[in-house]
Amino acid sequence: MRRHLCTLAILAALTCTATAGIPDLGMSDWSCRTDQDVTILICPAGDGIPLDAAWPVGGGDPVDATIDVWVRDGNGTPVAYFPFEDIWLDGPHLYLCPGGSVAEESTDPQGHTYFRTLFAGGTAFGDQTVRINGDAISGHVPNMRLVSPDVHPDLVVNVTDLVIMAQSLYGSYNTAADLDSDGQINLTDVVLLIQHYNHTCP
Amino acid sequence: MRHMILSILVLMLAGSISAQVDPDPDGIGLYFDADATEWCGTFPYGSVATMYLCLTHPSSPNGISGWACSIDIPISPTLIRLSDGFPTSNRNIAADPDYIIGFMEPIPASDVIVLMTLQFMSLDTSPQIPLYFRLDNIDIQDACYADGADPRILIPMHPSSGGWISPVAIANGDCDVIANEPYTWGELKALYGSSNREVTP
Repeated sequence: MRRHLCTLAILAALTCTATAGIPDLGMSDWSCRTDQDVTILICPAGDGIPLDAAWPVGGGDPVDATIDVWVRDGNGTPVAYFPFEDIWLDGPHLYLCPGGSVAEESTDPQGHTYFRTLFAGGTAFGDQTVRINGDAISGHVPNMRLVSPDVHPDLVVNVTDLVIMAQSLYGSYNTAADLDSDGQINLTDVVLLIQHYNHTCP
Repeated sequence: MRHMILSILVLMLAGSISAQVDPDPDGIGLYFDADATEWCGTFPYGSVATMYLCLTHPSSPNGISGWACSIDIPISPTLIRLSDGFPTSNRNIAADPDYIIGFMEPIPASDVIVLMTLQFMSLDTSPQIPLYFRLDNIDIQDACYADGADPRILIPMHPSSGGWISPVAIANGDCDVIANEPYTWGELKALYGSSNREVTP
């Protein structure tokens, strides 16, 4: 009996040791620094609006919508210095440049890192996911509206996007062309597109 | 005697209009100089003349990142429009006579910002036909400019003549405005009002 207990204890200890330092999808999580619905202007060149200066939907001063990520192992212990390349943000209809949505830096001693800049095109409304080594971890963001002057998502802002903008301006409303999320297509959206004209992935 | 006093007044008035920039904030007008002081000029026969679309006294201290306006160029068989120019790299998403322009880099703030230059050549020999230039809103967008720092801020522009219906510039016309038949006192008052709002009734 005692032998069995010892074996179990050793196995448990080994299991703990084996998972130490390895990110656990259940233990790791992520969150956003604001609960407000926000718009983030993203650009393949990475020079859109950073997450810490997000535009609240409906107007107002920019808010900090930085996405924080805490990487923990199966014991709930922070995983320090986990490489930033293996933590990325993903979402439907989000067209990423290669490596375009990885974390800003590797995790610190508290297992923390964050997202602030995205290199991407397309339009994504909510449903963002943070992945570690390709697997999604649980977390919550407000209604984050990612829009891009790369309206036609081919990772370059060019005449195709300009045509779509013109069609939206003179024709029916196209939510993807509403780059400031004010519910209308106007000079502001045109300027936001043209300021990123010819931009592409680095 | 009354006519003489009136003539002197009108001459003084015309002089004061052409000598100063529209003092009101966020004015837009067409001028014969980049300093936005001459709204009345001539297109000499056979030579190239330049007009400047100017934003005067922008209320935003951040410059501008784009603008929208319609430019009504008078139709004349003897007036040839040669080319348009812009102060910096841009794209126009509208079709002539409408302009919805976005600049790739904002234009810094100054008292007068040249939004566009227009070059003409007149083939009109004497007697020359007066040409009246007007500006207007666009159907889908009121005349405005986008703030240089935050393009989400759109600032309305007001015609230098005081009203969209009044010409903002006259070419080959008599700058002694009253002498121009089509140019009424009402329009003259609008012009005067744009330069001296405090005396506008």
